[in-house]
Amino acid sequence: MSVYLGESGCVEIQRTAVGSGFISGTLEIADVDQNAKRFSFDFPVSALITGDRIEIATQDKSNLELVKDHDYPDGLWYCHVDQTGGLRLYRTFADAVNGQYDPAIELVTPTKAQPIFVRNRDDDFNPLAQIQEYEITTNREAVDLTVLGDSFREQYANGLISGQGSIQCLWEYKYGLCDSTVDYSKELPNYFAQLVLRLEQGSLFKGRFYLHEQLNQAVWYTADCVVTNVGFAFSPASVVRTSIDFVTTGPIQLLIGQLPTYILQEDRYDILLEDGGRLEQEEPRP
Amino acid sequence: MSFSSGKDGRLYIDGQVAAKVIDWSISTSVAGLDTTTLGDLDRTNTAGIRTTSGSCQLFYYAVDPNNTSTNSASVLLNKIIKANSSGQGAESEKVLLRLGIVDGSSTEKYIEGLCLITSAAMTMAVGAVLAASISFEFDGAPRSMYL
Repeated sequence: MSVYLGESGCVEIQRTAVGSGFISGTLEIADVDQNAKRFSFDFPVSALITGDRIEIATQDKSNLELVKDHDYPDGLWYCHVDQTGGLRLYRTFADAVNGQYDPAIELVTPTKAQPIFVRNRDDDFNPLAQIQEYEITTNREAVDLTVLGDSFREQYANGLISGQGSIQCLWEYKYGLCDSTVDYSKELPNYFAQLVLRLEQGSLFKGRFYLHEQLNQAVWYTADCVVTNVGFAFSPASVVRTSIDFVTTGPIQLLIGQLPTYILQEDRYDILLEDGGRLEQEEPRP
Repeated sequence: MSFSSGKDGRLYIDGQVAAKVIDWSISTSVAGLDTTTLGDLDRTNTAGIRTTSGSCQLFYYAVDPNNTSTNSASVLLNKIIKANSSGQGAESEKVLLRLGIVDGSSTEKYIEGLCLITSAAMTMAVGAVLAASISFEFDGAPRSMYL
């Protein structure tokens, strides 16, 4: 008989949005600062969050005039949102959360105002940093079927399934140099505080909740989740913690097997798809 | 003597034990007719019309889905709801209801009478089992009772 410890658990999240939810706006000529590699357009505060992988598309299907040497109606990039609502685009999640000038994608000034759609579309799961504990509960709704004459209570066995849970984290909102606990590939707990306030696209995320994680054998729940509550606990004698409550929406799956991963080439690089994502495989990486 | 609860309840429809009954209730009221006259110091009255009515809930459940007579809720619904035939629906039927209490004695306690179903309602909802809510009113006095 085996005994499992909490150290084999982890949570991965994928940034996503409600249904086909998108933000619409107009990209004006003056919105793009080519030298600063920065642009903006009128979108609601909190609609976009640093690290989001966003698809930007023109509403009239004409070529998007925004990114240098990109002559397509749409594109998929990671974004960094600064304090004034300005956006920089990046090719990787790590670069986006870092927000530095050099790795930012070069922009071009559009020749005319362009009506655009922007929506969150990320194919990657990132592990959540600084988790102290998490719990997930699945429920089967019981409906009382007891009728007159029964001595024992009867229940309907095929009621609706729902799930909910909570995550306790040490609060963190930024990445630091040489910080081994929070590297740029991880999601920060503060993301949930932003997510619960996100407008237009809702506070939805895709979650993988690992009960046991090994390369060739893992057990995990996967579900779409809605953040319902984010709290902070401040106490003079303890570190700041954040508590995230969520409920699941749609199907919940309990999977056992090999972790989802990607096909690699002999040189160990990913095989990329046209949308910039990586080709998934069933077998793990060597 | 023992207390009675839901497990001791029975409902009979036209002499047959109804299946999947969630609850039944019965209420009898008498209209008091005022007979107070000048000079009286206290209000007096006499018994007027007596009304006995009740309600019950049944799961919409058929022992044999191909035979609606095995679905007690369906039997009651068909007493009041009549489909259009020759321009209009047929007249609603009365039903013999017997509300019983099995109290462990040799004789079941009951009240029985011919009833007119005055309302029937069903709600299909997420997270709930389909059931029929039936209200009825006795036609005249109960035929028999032993309470």
